[in-house]
Amino acid sequence: MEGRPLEDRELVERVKRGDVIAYETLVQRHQSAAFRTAYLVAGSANEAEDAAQEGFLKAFYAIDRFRSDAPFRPWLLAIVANEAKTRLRSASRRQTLALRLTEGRLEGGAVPSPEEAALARSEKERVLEALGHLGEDDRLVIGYRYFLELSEKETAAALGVRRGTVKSRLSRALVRLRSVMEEGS
Amino acid sequence: MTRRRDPALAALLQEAARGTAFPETPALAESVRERIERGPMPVAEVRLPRTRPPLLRPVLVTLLAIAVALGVTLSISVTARRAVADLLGVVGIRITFGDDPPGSPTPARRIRLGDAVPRKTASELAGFRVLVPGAAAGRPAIYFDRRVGDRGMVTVVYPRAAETLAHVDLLVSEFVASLPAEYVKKLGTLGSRITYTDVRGVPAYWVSGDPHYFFFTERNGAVRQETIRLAGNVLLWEEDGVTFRVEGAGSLREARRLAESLR
Repeated sequence: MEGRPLEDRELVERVKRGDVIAYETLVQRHQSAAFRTAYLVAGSANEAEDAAQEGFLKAFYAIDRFRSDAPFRPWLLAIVANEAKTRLRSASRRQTLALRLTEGRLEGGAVPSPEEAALARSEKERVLEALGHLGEDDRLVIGYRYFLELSEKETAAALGVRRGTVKSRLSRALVRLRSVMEEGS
Repeated sequence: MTRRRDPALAALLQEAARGTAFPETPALAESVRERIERGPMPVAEVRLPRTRPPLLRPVLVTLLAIAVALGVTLSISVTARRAVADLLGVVGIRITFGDDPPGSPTPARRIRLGDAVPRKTASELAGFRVLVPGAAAGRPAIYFDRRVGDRGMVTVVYPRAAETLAHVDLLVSEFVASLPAEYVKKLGTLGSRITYTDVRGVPAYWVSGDPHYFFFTERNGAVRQETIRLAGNVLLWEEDGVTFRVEGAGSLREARRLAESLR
């Protein structure tokens, strides 16, 4: 029994040798990111679940093509996002994403006044609502960077583009997000 | 569109992201493992949609299209029959797997292959030059079925009775798709025997035994399932983005001879 959790790279090597349990560990480790990625594209929990599950299956069957020295998560997320997009297109529909805030407290140590808290919450709700009206590519690049907190490098791998392209895509997506927010106000 | 920095928006997004309530992540590990252990059947395992009528499910429609294209009498293994029957049973449609007509020589089957078209038309429709095995005896019929793959599938048929397709000896199918080696390899875990060979130096696979289906990927990355339609073995390979399938050859040697004579 090994004392430390296996790294993705080690698990991938095991999967390549036919270890399904190792793959189950990878699924457990990345299912949240996969599901959220699919949700950002599909905008529906049911569709996101299906897309994430299919994405994991496709990744399993394509694992021999995966370079073990590359990070697993961006590669998986690219497959899941592609699956979610394909499903959306096959269904010929555009899903508006509806994100909502938790009932939790504001970040930071200071205790805001009820008015400040309400204002801050309203601003965040506005940005989430605007995000839901963006196209799937804009949602993905923003989602990867801000919601899944992928690094620029990981985002580039997940989107299959260069790091410089991530910067420009993100910049354009934020401009569009701001524009949608202003239109809505 | 002008690119400009908007640190206030970035900060707002960061805060909003931290406070966002995503739907609860479903536990996927067990269901994924179960599906892997049951084998690569992504099409047959699709769950019914909860928000749309089941028949609208695109993957399901694809499977149905394939099933219809193949006709109602399929030559597939018991396992594959059960998987297809289970799936179709879910949506309330039954397919009857009939026995061979009395006196019918094996591997004769009634198969629907699409529309009979001239070779030139088939090439135009499919988007690649359709090849015909020079080593095959007789004059082939050529069919185009737009329901298979993302550009449709061409099948070159050498039937004993072309007008009914009741006594097919040899099928050569060609369609735009890739044939990832790992999918072929996985068939080995499902009861098929895979013999690695080549066609003019291109890696090829001689698939024998159950189950009689294989998987390919369309250009958009979608994984599709295709049924092997004649009893016996099949030679599969991919060349320049086109997947080829030779069914009905008696042996690997004969299949390779036919494959290498494609012109």
